[in-house]
Amino acid sequence: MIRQLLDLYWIRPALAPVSCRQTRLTPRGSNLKLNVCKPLACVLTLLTGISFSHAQPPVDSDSRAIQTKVVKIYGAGGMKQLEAYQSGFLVSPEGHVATVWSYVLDVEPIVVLDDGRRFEAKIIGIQPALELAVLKIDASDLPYLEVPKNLTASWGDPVLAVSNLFGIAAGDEPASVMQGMIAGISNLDARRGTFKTAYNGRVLLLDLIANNPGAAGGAVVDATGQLVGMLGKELRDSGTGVWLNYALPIDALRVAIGDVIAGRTTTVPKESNPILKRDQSHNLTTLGMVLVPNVLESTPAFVDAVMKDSPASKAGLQEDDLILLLDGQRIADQQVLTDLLRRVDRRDAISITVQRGSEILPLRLRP
Amino acid sequence: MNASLSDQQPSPSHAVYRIARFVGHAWPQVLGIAGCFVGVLLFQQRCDAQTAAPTKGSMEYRTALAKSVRRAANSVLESVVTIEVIGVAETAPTRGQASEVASDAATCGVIIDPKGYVIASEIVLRKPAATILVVLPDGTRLTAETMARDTHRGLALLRVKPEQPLPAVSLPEEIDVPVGSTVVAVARYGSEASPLVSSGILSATERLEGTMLQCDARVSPAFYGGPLVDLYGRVIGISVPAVAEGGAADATSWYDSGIAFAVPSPVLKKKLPRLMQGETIQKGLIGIVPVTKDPYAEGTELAAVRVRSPAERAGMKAGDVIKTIAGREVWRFQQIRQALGQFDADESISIAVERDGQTLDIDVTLADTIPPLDPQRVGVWVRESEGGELTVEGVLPGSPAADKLKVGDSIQQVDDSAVESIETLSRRLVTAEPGKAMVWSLLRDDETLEVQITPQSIAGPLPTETLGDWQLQESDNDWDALELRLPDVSNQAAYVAPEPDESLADQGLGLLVLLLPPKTRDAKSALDPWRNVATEAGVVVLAICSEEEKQWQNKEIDVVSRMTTMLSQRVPVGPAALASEGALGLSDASAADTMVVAIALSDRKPFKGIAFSASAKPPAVRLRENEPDNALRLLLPIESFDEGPTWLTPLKTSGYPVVLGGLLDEQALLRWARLLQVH
Repeated sequence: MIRQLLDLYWIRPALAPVSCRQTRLTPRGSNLKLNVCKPLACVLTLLTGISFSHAQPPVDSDSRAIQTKVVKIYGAGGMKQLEAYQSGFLVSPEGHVATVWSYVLDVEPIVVLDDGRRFEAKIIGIQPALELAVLKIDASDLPYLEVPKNLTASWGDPVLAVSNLFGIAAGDEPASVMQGMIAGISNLDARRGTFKTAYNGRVLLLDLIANNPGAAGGAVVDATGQLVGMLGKELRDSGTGVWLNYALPIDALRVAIGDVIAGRTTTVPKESNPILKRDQSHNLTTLGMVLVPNVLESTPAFVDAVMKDSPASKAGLQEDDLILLLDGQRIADQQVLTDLLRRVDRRDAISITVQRGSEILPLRLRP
Repeated sequence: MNASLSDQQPSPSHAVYRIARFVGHAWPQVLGIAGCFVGVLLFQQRCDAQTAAPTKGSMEYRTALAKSVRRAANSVLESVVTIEVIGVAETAPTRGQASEVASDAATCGVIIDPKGYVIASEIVLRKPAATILVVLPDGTRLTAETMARDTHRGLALLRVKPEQPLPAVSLPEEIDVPVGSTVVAVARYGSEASPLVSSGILSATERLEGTMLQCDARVSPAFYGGPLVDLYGRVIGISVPAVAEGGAADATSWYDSGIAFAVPSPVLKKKLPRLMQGETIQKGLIGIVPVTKDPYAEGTELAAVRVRSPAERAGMKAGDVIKTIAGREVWRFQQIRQALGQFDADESISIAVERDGQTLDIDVTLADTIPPLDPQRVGVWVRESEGGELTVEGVLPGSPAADKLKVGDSIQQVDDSAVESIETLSRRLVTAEPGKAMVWSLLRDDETLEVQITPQSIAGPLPTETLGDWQLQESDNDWDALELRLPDVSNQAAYVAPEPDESLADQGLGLLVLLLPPKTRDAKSALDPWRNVATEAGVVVLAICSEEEKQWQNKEIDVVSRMTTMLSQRVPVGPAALASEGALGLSDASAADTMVVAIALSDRKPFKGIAFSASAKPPAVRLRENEPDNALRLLLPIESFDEGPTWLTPLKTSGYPVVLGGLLDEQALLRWARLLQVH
């Protein structure tokens, strides 16, 4: 049972395309080993041999400025070939970091800034349907990327993608800058179950091999250095079955990021709510649900059974649903859920967000 | 691109294009003297850049390039359609051949005729489907009929019946886009048929035996069937999935890898009339066999011409030297393949050959098939002197050559054309017509004479005779077993061979490479039962263990090849045989048997024959035809062909002769291995 749970734990809450991942042992674009370095080296040697003083101008002079706003994130993982790292970028001078919500954030993550400073970060907001998480580190006066109101990008536009793909950078080593363009802008077509993402809105398809392990959460900027998107998790295209290179467009993320920063949808437990007496507060029985046995130090809140005619069954909760949020607050494990329920009057309705397969569903449980 | 072109074409902003040309063209051309030219260009660009803020130039360039890319794509997008494959019959993928790409993946197509002809990638026909739909840019779905396919290049021609004429692209008669030019792969993607582009440069032309353009755009399956355009929006090719021979099991394996292929538009244009008439286009075969050992060596002389092949029908003969193919001069066989790339079955080409000092023009009509090989032998062991003289060293008793050839005979000609190397003789016999007498001209005791010998199929019962000198020799002093190691792999291997000695070269020793079952971990002790019989039979035996205890892996194919080559450099031996213990009549099949077949079919260069168990599982490798310049034979411990596995039949029809070994023992297996050098 424990073993089974462990399996669940690593696969399900993560929303990670685990089944695909195991077939994917080599980096994108390396299924063919072509030595591109040598010709390039030749070119460089040749160029240095020619008598002019300046090197070729960089693809984009702002690359360095963007690197300073991208962070390295370390968290859970390291099992089943899941990398324990990803990327993120600063969206406020006070240390708000936007990144993708993934298994890496199953523990409170470590954020390492471009200058090498290391912070224990708090997950202050998650938006499962957007696969977005916002972290907060305790710092100020940081360089950050403005989240623009609108998406002005169109297909064919040049972009830079800045991320810590393959975890290649560590400490004060800056994130990697890659160049390419927006190949197209299209809806993710979720017509089949092969999609292991909750997000099914518009995406920026990228003409660069961007979505490698660790790149998720990286920033995509246009030729003027303006933020246009966030690199998503490694994902297979449901239409063709192959790996996609894509970013979530910034206009889809803007409201959610703003709400978290403004404190409107924070997932941090509200400690102000007092603990109620046992017979006055909600608990799992009042709602009519049974969770899987709580045998791990941190057991995810998977639903094992739903009582007939209970608030849970009326709301449509089902076996195997994973409870992600309760009244906007993040349910890291079963302990957090029972603790939060103790603070809710049992005469009140509650809102929960669950994950069912790859779907994210909001449910309202009325007593 | 030249100046005259920009005069005719709607031109992208010139400054931009100049920079684009610089970035696009310069990289691959930076070689030798081209370096100075680049220096000048770079300097020029630097001046341009200095007029603006120092870093603004690159941004401007990128933005302007984006504009040009969009402009180029927009000029064809109205003709780019999505192809949907509906109701695909799902079958379980064969192990090792599974494609990552969904069998009903939506791909693209290009309208090439207003009446509703759409060219697409052959991938849409990969699996039987209930229907194929063409989705026009405005979302209209039309059912498509498959008109024809070009299996040589991986294209399908579809036909829809539109209410109004459709906007078609025009395919250029020729393309003069130099390697290094910026190119854009164009497609439509998703439920809204959104434009999708990937830009790169043209990396090479005439790839994959002269059939494909190559570019470095990130072409993923959504792009297959879509156009590849230059910055002027001219369609230079149609993107298709392809990999190099032996590169990967599935044609789609190289998506997004920096190497993408497209069928050149002029070739497609030339083939269109045939496709529109519903003709299936297949690779054109010719049936010529080279004298040279490998296709990259200089020399285009023919060792032989295949029986009932287009070359034979057109009157080509062994000894002919090919000068030109369709007007193109050739010096190597690889160039011949390249030149044939743009031709197909049922098409005629003119070939100039040199025969007896005269040049002849021969018209050859290529064919889609050539009767499979039925390799022949006469039973002669020959030696090649440095001057290219072949001398008979031994004649196999009971063979067609017995009583006809004598030790010491010098072979001058076979069927009116000179035979100057063992390879040529071997290729001549492998392709000989069964049952037809060959005229051998010999020099015996300074006298010329001709004998007629009717060759015999290699397929059939294993000969029970061997050369007189090769009879089992009783031995008191067995050869020693020694270890063989490659520095970079962990496979254990050992071999039994005589002490190095100069006289060994004349003895015609055989070589048997024995793959051990994965459970056998000690190669040296596995050779114990072989030491005596190997010494007596005069065959060096090399035993190789798998890397892992559970299995033989595909990557070890190379290990086996390298070890074989290494050993044949240490001890002078004849052609190598590859076998598993399962080939012995009383042994069980193991993973080693499957590996033997896998090696033979994927990289059989060092091997001339393989022996394996009749109950071996077939490997997951693509079957290819047995080729005369590297002919392989199979030996199984069976009495009749019917006792073999069912998958032996496709091997036979692909030209692999099956030798029936009966209840094979070690002695018989080694005798067969040594006889591989007898033709």
